[in-house]
Amino acid sequence: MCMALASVLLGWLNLDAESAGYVWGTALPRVLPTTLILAVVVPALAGVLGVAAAWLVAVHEFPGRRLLEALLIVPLAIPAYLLATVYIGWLDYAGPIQTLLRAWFGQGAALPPIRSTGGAAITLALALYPYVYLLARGAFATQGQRALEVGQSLGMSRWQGFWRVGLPLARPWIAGGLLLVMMETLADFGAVAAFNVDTLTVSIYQAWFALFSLPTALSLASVLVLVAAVVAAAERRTRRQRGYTAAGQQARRVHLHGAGAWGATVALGTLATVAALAPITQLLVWAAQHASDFDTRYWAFASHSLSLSAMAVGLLLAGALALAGLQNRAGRAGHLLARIAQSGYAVPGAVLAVALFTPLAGLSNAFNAATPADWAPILLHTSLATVLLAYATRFMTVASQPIEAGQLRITPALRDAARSLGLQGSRLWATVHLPLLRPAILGAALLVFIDVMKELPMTLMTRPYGWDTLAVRVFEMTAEGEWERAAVPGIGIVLLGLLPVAWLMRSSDPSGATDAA
Amino acid sequence: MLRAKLWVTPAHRPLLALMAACVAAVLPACGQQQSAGEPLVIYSSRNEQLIKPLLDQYASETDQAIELVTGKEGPLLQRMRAEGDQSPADLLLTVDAGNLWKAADDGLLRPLDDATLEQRIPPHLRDPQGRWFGLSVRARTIAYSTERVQTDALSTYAALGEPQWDGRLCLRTSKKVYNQSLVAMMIAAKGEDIAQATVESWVANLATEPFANDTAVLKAIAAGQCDVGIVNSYYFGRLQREADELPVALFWPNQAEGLGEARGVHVNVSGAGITKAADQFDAALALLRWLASAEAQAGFAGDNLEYPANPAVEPVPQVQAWGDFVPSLINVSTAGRLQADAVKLMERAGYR
Amino acid sequence: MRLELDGVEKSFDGKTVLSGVTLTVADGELACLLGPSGCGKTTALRLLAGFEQIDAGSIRGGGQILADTQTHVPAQRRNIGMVFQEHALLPHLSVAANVALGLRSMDAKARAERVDETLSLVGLTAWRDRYPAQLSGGQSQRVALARSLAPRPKALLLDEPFSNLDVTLKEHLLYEVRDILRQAGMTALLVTHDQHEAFALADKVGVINAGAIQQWATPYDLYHRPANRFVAGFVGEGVLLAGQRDADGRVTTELGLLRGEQVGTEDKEVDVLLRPDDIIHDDASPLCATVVRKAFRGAQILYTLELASGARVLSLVPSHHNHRMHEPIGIRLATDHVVAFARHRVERG
Repeated sequence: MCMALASVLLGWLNLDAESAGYVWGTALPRVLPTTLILAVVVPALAGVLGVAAAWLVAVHEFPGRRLLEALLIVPLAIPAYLLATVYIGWLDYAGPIQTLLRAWFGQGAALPPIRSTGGAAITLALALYPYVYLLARGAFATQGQRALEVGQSLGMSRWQGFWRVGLPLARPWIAGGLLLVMMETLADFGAVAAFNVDTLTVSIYQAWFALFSLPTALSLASVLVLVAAVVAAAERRTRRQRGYTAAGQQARRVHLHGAGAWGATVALGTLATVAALAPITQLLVWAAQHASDFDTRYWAFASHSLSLSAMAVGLLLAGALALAGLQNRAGRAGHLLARIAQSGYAVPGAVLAVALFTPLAGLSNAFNAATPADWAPILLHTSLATVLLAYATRFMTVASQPIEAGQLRITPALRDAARSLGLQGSRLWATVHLPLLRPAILGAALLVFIDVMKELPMTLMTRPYGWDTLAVRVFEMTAEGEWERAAVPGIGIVLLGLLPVAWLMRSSDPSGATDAA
Repeated sequence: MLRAKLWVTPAHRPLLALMAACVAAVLPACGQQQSAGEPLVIYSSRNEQLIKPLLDQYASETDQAIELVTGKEGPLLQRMRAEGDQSPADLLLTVDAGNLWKAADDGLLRPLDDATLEQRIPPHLRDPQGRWFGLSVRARTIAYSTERVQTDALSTYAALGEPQWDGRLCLRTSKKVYNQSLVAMMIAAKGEDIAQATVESWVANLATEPFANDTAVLKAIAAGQCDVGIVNSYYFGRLQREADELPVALFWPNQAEGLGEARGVHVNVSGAGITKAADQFDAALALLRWLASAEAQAGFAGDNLEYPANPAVEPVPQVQAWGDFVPSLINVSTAGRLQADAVKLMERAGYR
Repeated sequence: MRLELDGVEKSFDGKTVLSGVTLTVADGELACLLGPSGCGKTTALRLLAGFEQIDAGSIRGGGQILADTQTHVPAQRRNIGMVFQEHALLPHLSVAANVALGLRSMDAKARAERVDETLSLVGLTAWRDRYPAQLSGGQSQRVALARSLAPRPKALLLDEPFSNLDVTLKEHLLYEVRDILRQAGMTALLVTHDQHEAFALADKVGVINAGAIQQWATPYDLYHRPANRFVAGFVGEGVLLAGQRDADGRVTTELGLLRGEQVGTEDKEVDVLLRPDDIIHDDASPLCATVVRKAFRGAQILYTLELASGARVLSLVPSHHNHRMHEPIGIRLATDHVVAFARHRVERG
């Protein structure tokens, strides 16, 4: 990660005055407001959707709750650029909905333009809210009965209880989710490009691909890193002194009745339909229209996607746990190291890949030049290890956020008790931390698995020969604008992404938890 | 004795087993990448499903092992730069003259002096120093609504800025390289000032925000959101295949003889060049010659409804049906050279 | 194992929590640190356990240095067990597994035996396969105790272990815990703010306030021979009544001459501590006081009585002597100890 960051910063040294002057002087002032609007509005929308949905499913009972609880995670598995393509396909002037409106109400009938900053914000929020939902749901489910009872005993209504107790106690989780949403928004290229909304990331690619100035692109990327780091640090500062441990046993669900119950079902059902079911149906229809594209190679693509994701999960979980351990003992330096390791998420994948790739290629070259000519040349920059390293630099924060938040629920007494019994080091971790972090670890695993499954630019650039994945397949289709054909591999990503969603739902099923606990 | 709750419950085992099996199945593949008898390595940003069948055909006919590494243009070029002399790439295959120009400009490609290639590919479709050769031609032209537009109202690209098209024009985003090279060619023909005035007049005539792709432009014309637009011909061809009665047609602009430098339909190429780092020069040259040959050209261009770069080869019938046109004869490398200027010009003109 | 704190100091963020704490718990002794909340008693315990590092002084266990300004033996190597207020059972482990936590060095068979042995010591053999969420408060307290005892620690620290339990359960458990600890021959230090717990469990009690030990003594001595006004006020009930020492050194008050062992200052002008049991209701006594408050305690009634001077005293009277409010009743002194403090200001216990 440090190497990649250094590469990004090296961009500053190689700036060519002309391109840099143009981008920083002309393009940046135009894209920066849009970028900031998206960076604020998308997390805000995703936060409202995610927290409200999480609160409903985590502490209430209503018809269809179990099914909705799972369905609401599903948009996570749909790449944002595919969701954007689907929505634009439906809602643009030439799409079926506006065509129908014109047929019914005459030529003047129109929706607000979907290809706009607003359209992009809503789409990104619908694609990204599961990050908040997933984390907040875990927090609400584990905050303990006692906290809510204290609220009730102080005369708070359920609504006040949510604002005064539930929300504050879940804050690190929600903040972690919002941070992920914000960084993902900053780094997004595919979705905003589909809306032709210009953000900083678009400018980065513009500088690189159109102006042929990679250093300018890297210098712009460092701005993204900075923004992400500042926001993350600010968030941490405000919650430094507080405790977030759980009190009491797992809360019992509040049974909703009548209008409240059906209201919850309808509201969440609508969200699940708009963000997951309908887009997936559309992808399935498109995929069916291009079913002839599907051949036996797809088994290999799927298998590559699956194994890369699985390996990345293993690597990143180990890394995130190590970082968590480091932060526990190493104080300031550990925190700094953790922050650095986590800042990659706000950088567009292609930029991060090239930042990682260039020094590695240089290293390979140096090694190959120094070794006898008949030695097989090594290709450090395109190897399985590099792909995984690239994932690690980009997705470390995805693994870390849930685990760091989960640690806050471990009461100091539990740690002390174990220490007084002579447990230390790895045993302490294995006996106390890991089991108590289990929900957080599963959540992190799910996020990483799906994110890696969707990841494209880094896989494309650093994969070893022959390692084509479903996401690479999507690229092959979309490179020539065949978005609907991309539905074939796209739906594959969604289906594989659903596997761990189903897994997570099973293992975090409250009934399953109580019969053993 | 420790009766901890099981980390992985039995219900999860099948899934874990599946994952493990996948990992196990692909791991052996890692070790093999360097073996199979020195294959020819191609770095390609051209759509894999367009190029792969041709390469497979060549491989089976000649017994030449081929490794195809696909990727996005920018990262692929950066990869070659980073790999330097040791790049495994023998041949670079990419779309857009701008990328080819950039690769040549960065010294990644080897100049060729090859009579066969020069005979097969016309001069304006290849690098003057022979570092790359266009293999297929992509025409960027005007699409119009057959319901609301008479063809005699259409003449040139620049004329789409006339007041009669106010609120009737659809464009694709200026971030797409096709529009960047179109504008770059306008700069080459008419100078920056006139080009900027033209772009500004387009922007003033826009019916809606620029679209993210050409297909959306064509659909918007069909749906009545606008009446004219600028697209690559093969997108029209693709849409034509899906819907027979498309109320949209192509018009070839800038055909009048008095237009001088500006005469001709704007064309771009997809093409290839042999890399500086190539250690299989002969094999790479043989493949490049074959790709320019009549045998390969029909498929290379035809599969994507493009025009063959080799004038001896006819386009496929669907493409022929759109009629003949005079292409712009400015060397396509100009588009690369002026691309950055075009980008800045469009930003100034407010073309998003 | 003998536990010794010598001049221990500790502050957090510049705020002194413990200053010069010195105490000794003899081997096999059950001791207690008693004090109001925020007095530093839990900090003392955590220093002993090794969860925190001391700023000055030293801590020894069985004569060995556990901590001083150079040394800090980490918690997990002190072989000192700890029972927490929250019980801190690991929710994902069964009762037996929780108890087995500290038994890693044993082989499986020995471990199982030790778990069964400890569980039977706390009477929870039948619950060995339950999970913490399925236990009552008293049960989880006993599991926590068993867990700490299982590895046979050299000493046991208990941090407010009964504070989350209801009163009857607490009474019951207190004696049970004491018996368990005695049976195990355990050196133990309990921290509590509840003197009943302290008196029921401990051989020696240290009253701690404002970061310093006020008195380290048996419960009897704390009650009857308090070292200062704070201890007198904090431990037990009682009032201070003005008195004068005569030439023979005996103290006279409004209630007459006090007999018994002289404790405390030898000043002339003193305040003497009068416990409720020092004043006996006696209808025959010429000395009268008026009932101004009464608290029914089952077997006894605690009367607050107003003397002629307006000063008030307490008297614990068998509850069949049920007097009305404002009724004058006869009382007499029955002191064994005369606890006198220098009179510098009026202070009520």
